[in-house]
Amino acid sequence: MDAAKLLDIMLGAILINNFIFSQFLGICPFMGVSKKTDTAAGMGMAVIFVMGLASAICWVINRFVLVALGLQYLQTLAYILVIAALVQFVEMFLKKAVPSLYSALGIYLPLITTNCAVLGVVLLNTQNNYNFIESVVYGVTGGIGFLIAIVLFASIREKLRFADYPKAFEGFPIALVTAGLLALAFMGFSGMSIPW
Amino acid sequence: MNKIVKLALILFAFSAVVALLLGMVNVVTEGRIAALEKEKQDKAMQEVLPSSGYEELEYTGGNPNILNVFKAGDAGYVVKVVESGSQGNVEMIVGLDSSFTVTGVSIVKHQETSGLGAVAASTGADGQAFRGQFVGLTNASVTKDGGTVEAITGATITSRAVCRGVNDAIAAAKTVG
Amino acid sequence: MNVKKQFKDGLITQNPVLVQLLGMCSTLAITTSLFNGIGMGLSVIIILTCCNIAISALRKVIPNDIRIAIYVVVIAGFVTIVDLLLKAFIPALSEALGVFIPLIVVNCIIIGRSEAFAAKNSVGASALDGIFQGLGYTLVLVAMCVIREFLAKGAFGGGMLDVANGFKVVFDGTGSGIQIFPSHYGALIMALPVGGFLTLGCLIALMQHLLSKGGKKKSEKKEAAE
Repeated sequence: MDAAKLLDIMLGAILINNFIFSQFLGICPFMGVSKKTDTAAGMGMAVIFVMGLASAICWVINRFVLVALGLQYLQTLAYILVIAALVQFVEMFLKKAVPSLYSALGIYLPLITTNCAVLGVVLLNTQNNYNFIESVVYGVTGGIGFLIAIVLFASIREKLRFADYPKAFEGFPIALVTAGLLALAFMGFSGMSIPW
Repeated sequence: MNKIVKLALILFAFSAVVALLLGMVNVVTEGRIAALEKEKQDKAMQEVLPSSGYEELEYTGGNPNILNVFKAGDAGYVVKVVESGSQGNVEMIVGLDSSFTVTGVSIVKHQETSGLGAVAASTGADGQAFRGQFVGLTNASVTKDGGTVEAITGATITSRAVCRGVNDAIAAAKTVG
Repeated sequence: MNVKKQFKDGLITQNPVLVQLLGMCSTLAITTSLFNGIGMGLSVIIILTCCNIAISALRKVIPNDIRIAIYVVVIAGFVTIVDLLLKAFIPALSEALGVFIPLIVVNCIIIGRSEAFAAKNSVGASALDGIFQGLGYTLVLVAMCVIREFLAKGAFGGGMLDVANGFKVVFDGTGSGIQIFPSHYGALIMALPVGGFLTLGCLIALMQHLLSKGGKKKSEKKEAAE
């Protein structure tokens, strides 16, 4: 196992190729659940969890079922079913085991199914031929990148009501412009690479 | 409990029908997709090092980035190599003559940013100029790192990835040659 | 069902991207050349229409409890079919759009229209809804592409219009487009993620402005009539 490669994947997923700001994956929940910092943080946590778990399970299914049987064309279908089932399972599990976390996440849990960052990460794992550990690391750190992005964005958005902007930009447009500026800031990371 | 079983069966039936349909489409498209990919690779190989035939060699060097090594008759070697660029993997084909000097580079697959990193693979004049810089080199690095390759404006990471690919290809060809 | 109203809803008053704010990811990600925008738009029109038809036809058979799961399966099926066909027949487009083709599965427009429209309406109306909503989406994609491509590279119709070899439209992504001003004067930032966010923000702002203006006029007219 190449530690440098893992570090490279981590750094890439969290900062350089941040899912939100450079890959455009998971924009819907990013825009929808970022009005308050604490719900944004809850969503981010849930996404880390589901992305990590989905990466692991989908890797196993792809490797031992789809590739083994030559059914790669069923990838998208299999992955989305795994994710939907996983989210459902996590929901049931949390409800029984950790009710406090369950009520904190509330309606955001089922929404994760249609978070394209989750399906995106498993598809990218397959596309990049990551092995099991790399896939899980990419999934978890991709989720961390999402968490950082959404918390930063939510905390700026909370302050937006003090800002003075044209009326037409009310609501969504000004949020998009803010996200654009954040993306600009994240571009600063793009020169970074790990010296081999 | 009965209800859950029934629902599961319905979902299963839907999935089975969809999977069956996909299987049918796949039969039609599979051959074409494979043929297209092969054609693209053959074209790229002819571009970097023209030869009447390519014979795949077994590579045992252990570099996971090396996908295939081919011997192009007496002309030299063609190596297919993958490196991580700025947005994902960059897959390229590197041609080398028998003294391991680069004869050409062709980028077959990438996900780099359009207008920046993607220039490396473009068929336009700027892309050709970038790839042309590698011809005649035996060791590639961008000017920022003290080499001779002018990086694409705003896409040093992609340029570095191509340099790494060329160097890996040279090293791999040397182990089999 | 009123076809004219559906048409207007899809393209303007209920535009999926600008008003319903669905399908952001692909709108932001792939709109860097006209070729991508039109290709993605057409793919979504086809998939959305097929899904709407299928789900509307099956709406009486689908149990309510697991409807979302079944929608997802149906959508994933159509998306994979389109993905395979593109790979086999228009490989340039499949490469340009990359992972965003399979990601149409989780494009909120499709699941949103299935849930909000196709599950409640007849097959014919659902098919029309699919076409018009898809057209509305395509319209926004094309607008984004034209704006971003012009500002970033000073070009129009990249990948689709081949000017160098006579003026013609090509579908393999090799056309160079019309160069309106030299590309090195362009603001490359518009081709980057930042440009996507800013362009979409401005487009939605424009839409909100126009809609509120239209709304005001209507209410003024009403008042005048009274």
